[in-house]
Amino acid sequence: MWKQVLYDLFSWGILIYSLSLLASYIFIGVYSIGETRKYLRKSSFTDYNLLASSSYSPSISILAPAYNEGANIIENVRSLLSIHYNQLELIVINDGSKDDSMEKLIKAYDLEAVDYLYNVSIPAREIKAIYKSRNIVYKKLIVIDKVNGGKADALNTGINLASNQYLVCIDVDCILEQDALLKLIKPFIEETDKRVIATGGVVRIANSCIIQNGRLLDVNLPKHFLPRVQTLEYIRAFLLGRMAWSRLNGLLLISGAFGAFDREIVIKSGGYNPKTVGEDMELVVRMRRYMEEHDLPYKVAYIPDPLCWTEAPASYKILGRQRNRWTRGTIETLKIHHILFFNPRYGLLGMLSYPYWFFFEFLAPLIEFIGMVGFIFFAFIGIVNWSFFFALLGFVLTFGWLYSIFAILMEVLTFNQYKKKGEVAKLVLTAMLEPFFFHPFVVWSAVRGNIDLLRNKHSWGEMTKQGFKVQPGAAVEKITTASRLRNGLFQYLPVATGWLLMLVLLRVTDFIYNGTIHQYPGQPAYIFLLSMLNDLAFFVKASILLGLMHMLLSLINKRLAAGVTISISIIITLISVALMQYFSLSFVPLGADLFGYSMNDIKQTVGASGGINIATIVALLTVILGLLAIFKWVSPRLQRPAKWIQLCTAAIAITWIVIGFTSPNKFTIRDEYAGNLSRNKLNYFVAASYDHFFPANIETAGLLAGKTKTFNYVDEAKYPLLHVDSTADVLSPFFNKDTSPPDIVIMMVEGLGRAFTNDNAYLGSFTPFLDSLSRQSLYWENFLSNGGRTFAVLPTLLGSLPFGASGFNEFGEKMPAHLSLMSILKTNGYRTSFYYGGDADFDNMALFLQKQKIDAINDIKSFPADYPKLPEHNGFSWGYGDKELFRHFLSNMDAETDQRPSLQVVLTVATHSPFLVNAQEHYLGEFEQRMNTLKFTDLQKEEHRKYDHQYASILYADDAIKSFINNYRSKPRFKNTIFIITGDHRMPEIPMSTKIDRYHVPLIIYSPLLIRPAAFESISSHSDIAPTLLAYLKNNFNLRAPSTVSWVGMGIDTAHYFRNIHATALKQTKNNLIDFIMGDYHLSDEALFKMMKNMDEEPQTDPAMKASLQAAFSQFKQKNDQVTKGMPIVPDSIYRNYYPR
Amino acid sequence: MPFANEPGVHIYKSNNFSKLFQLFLPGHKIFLLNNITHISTRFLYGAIVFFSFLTVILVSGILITVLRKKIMFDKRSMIVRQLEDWIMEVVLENASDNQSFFLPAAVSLVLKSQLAKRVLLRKLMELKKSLSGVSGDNIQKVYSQLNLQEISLKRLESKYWHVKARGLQELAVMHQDAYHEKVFELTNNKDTMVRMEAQISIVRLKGYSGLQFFDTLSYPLSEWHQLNLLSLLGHLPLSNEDGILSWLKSFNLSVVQFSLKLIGEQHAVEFHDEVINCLGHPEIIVRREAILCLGQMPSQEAATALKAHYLVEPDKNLQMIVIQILRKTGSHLDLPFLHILQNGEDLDIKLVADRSVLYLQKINGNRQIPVTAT
Repeated sequence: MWKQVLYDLFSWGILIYSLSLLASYIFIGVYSIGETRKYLRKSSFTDYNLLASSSYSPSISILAPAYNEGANIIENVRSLLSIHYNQLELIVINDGSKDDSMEKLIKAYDLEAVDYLYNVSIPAREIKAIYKSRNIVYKKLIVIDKVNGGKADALNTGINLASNQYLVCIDVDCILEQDALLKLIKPFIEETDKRVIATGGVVRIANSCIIQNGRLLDVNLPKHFLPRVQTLEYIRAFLLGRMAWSRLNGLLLISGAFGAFDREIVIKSGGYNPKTVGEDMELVVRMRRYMEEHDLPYKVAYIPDPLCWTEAPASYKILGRQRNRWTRGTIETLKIHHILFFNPRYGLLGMLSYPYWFFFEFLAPLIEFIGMVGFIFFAFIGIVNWSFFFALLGFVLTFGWLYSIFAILMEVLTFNQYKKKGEVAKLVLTAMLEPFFFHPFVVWSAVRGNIDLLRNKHSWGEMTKQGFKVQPGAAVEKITTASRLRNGLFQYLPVATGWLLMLVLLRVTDFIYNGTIHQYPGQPAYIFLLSMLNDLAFFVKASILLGLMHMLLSLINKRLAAGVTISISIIITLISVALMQYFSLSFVPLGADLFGYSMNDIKQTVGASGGINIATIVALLTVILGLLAIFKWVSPRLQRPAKWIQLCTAAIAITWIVIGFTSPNKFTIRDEYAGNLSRNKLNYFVAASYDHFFPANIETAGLLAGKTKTFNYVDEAKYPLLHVDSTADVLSPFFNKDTSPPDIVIMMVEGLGRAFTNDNAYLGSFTPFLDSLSRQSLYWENFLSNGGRTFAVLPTLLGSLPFGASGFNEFGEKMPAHLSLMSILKTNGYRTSFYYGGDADFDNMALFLQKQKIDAINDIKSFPADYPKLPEHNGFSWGYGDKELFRHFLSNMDAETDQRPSLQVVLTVATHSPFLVNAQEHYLGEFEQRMNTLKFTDLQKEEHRKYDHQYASILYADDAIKSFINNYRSKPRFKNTIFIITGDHRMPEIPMSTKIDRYHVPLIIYSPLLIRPAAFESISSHSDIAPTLLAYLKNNFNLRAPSTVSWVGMGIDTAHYFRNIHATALKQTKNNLIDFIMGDYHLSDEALFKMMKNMDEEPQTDPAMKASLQAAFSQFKQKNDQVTKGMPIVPDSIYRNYYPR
Repeated sequence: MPFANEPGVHIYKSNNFSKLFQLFLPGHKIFLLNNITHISTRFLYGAIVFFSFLTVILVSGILITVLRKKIMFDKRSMIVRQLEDWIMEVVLENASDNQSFFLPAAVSLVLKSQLAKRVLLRKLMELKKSLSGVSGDNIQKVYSQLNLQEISLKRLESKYWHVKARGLQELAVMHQDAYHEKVFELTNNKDTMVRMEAQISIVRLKGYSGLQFFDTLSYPLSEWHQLNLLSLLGHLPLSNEDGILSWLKSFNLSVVQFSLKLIGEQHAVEFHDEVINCLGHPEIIVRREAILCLGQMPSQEAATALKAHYLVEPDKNLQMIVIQILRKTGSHLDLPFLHILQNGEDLDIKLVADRSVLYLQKINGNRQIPVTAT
């Protein structure tokens, strides 16, 4: 059940994530429209030139860091100086360029070193000199020559020297529009109720544009695919994304290429962070955080106008570095400001902006990458639902195209930069190609960014541009990921080879050792070869996993990978040695039975077998040192294997893989010792442990929906029900085996329906004790009673008998000869008894039981006089309540001296109309409290109160069972007792939801003998219990039981998942046989229903299926009728052989 | 004992589900969810069809928009080409006050279309903003002669704020005084942009008397708005002293701020005392503007007032502005005061004081002080 929970959590989680992502994109697209439209309309009648000439315009300091910009710096600075703005200073920061940038500037602008007063408000690296021009024309220009410290450090230096109110940070190679500065500054002076702390504008791609003397002369769509697809990406990001966030006032990022900031707030926030590669985003987040923490109203504005043109990477290599850096910058910023995450203190910033970036900017590429890898893996192992996959792929692709087309439409409607013939069409075509040729690369770059960050990489990488060189580079990446992985594989091969050699040595040692101290198997060469194949198969499986792990770790660190792989190999080998030793002592390989022992048991066992002695320690040390020696010897020889070795390795690997996956399980060996000797002990242990913790769903050929098991009838003409008993012993794997046959206590709780017991009970669970008990038990949540009334429970549960005309008991004295669980156990020496609080003559129960040669019927007549009865209703009482019933049982048990194993059947009565129990008021109070515990709404409470007596009686019954079990626990026979708890049928006095509901009961098999609890969703019925119990007892305790039987049921299904392999008839009332289930379908009074996982039903109109069920039902009814009309159930020979004398 | 009255089967749970939710239940006809993949392929195919349909619509939208823009651009360009010669003639003509401009038949024909009129109007607006004198007047005359004010007035009636604002701008730029009441009505419009544009327009039309809305202004004027107003009034001598005096006492701080800017822009020394009084205003925004204003009216009195104010000013930023402004208003007589500040502990104050000292020393004696990087 937990696997299903995990799967549901994962799949629903991914679904919710994906839908949220799509919804957010849609929201952003739509929400941006308003802001863009508003800006365009405002802009249409705004005279920006006012700002240029007014002495009241805000003062601006342009900061332009430069590194190795010698090729273009003169023109770029000239274009910046030509900006017409009244109160402007231009600060160019030469960040330790290695070329002749400074010399060119000094010469071109007639610069001289000056004394300049400034405060170091933000720490930055040393300034070598500050220059100003002798020429008054360039009086606005200040050039700083400083020690290299990176872009952030250069900007911080500029901030320290800046003296104006606003800072405009710009990449020196960016081309600005004529009125870019004016448009960028205007938002700062437009607001009256909040302070604008930063503004940004759209950055456009300048590739293929005509640029002369630092001016954009003609706009062209980039000719090559890569810059063109980035154009589209920028349109989406800037025109849609940032405008929407700006409207929300949740923008986290101003482009580092061109943005304006309030100097005072920048300084108060601490300036740019030189320790991150995403300094632009980090600053904005920090400024916002500052304003939030000081409760100051603020805004970060965005201009959709194309203000700045820059060159985009034209090769995948450079693009990869850029995206890698952007990813690292994003993660670093998110990490630094993690306090914002869903922190209401920070308002929209913490509750929306930050989480959005975290989930949809940071996590999205990782989730996508994991999805891609997962898909490849699932495709490889063949479990992809291809129709769903293609539908989902189509969905994602068409949504992506739609979004891109929408962005293009917005661009055309607004700024329409690409007016030339065919440019828009090319952009549309680019949008179509993007998911295949661009997006996967961006995802991969983001993943690499994550990996690089884990590897503590902080560099920018060399961002070579065509004609531009930007920013300091650290170590240049020359080794690709593919080559790293390949190197990792080559590094792993010698480790794997060394390990294989050790395994071969161990096998040889094991074979010889066991042969010497015990015996060699018959056909020793064959067995030895088989052993080797088993070991190779295990080695291949383990090697693939280990190899993959090694290759991935080698991306982080080679030594780490080698160390981990070698360590794991050593550990695996040591465990193998221990398991081989276990086999040599016990002749059986160690499996999941290990988990049935406590630590003390294990210690005792190990000690008893000789324990950890000197010889063992020496042996283990020999193994470890031997392995290390092999690794050391093999590794250098296989570090750079020759081509022929690589080919051989590949050929051998393929052969091994084929052998490994065509497991030698097909080779059956009759001799158990030889078979166990040839097994790979570790493989056996791992497989058995896996099956223990994750029991395999039983897959039997033909058990699909609609197909069921069928009986192998012996002689239908004479004995309509007689068949070969093929009931599987499904209980043994769950039980510890005791030496003596267990006591069996079968508790049939009157009216105990699944509707009000255990998890997902649709009426709420009113059996808290049974709920907790079921978690320690084998629990079937979709069990069915074969009858809608109590009349059916004894014959079906104890005897798996047909119904006859009006229930089997109604045969009365003419009951046909039959065998049952009770009679067979009696024959096998069991003591049998029946407990009932009412009159056992009711429904001929006593008669039926007497036919089973029962030892004792303890009904109302047997109770001591001082036991209180159930309250009377109109002068009638059912008899004794459940507490008294169990008390009577335990009292008899204490007095019992017979040590034979026992089968004791208990049938309760309190949860029966009129639902009057002793301490009624107390249980009504419990009912109220239970509703509160279940957090019922007022409406639900009101509904439930209509049946308060019923629920109170259920709580009473649960309490009684609790008391019974707890008392039983103190009895000596408890340890060897199996309790079977079920409802005889579902209480009809509380309205039912479906046609099947009346039969829907739980089945709980509780016992201290259980190895572990388990829950099952598969459907079985009361008629399956007797065959299953007998199969278990037969298999484990050599119970004498017939091999041909007349059971109606074919045994309990222990599939964990929902299914029905039975074809079962259900008798609604004594006179109504109208229900039949087969596969997932339920035929009820000629109406067809499909049963769902929670036993909900949906009506179906499937004539073919209906006909199939009707035919099967008819077949059952025919046999039932035959029995009713007198045909024998079992042959005399079997009856006399197994019926108690 | 028999069980009488078999209770019927009740569909207990159906009330709990809405019809919409039932779409997601397995087995439902539409069947959007199944219990394995959570979303059925049918839903995905439906979504694919829907997205594809929308994509086709949007692509059509792109094509139509591109085509439409091109057609409009070509049409406008053609109209401009057809009119530009005539416009240049009008602009350069030395027309008398009541003279009408000759309208060639070709131009008349072109101007029969509303689009051509709107294109012409836009062109005239562009020219009017950059031309003054006779040329500017000629443009105004053409505007009136061709009844282009009808377009502007119609724009005033539009429900779109940006169209209204453009109409206001046109009427104001073209000095359509006759419609000043219509413009004035919109100075109280609920839309901020319309209101702002109406206020600017009325000032453009009426000068200082257009500022009567200051008397009842209940919301702040943005700095951008103030900039627009200043650009219109900056070159007009202050005529309404009473108005200025009342504005300086306004409860609306932005009005006070603007008034100080206006005084500064006009270098209106007659309001010197009032400006100095504003140094004691409780609001920072007013004090700041008063300091800057005194910088526009340099005098020893101003310097004395600023120095005195420095000592009582609680805000450090304003103190720094005072020191900066002393460069304009101060003289060598203020150096001792600045020296004291230079020796203070606050680095920011020291820096500004250093710069001011350097500046004053330069203009008073060209002595340089060594770099003090702190």
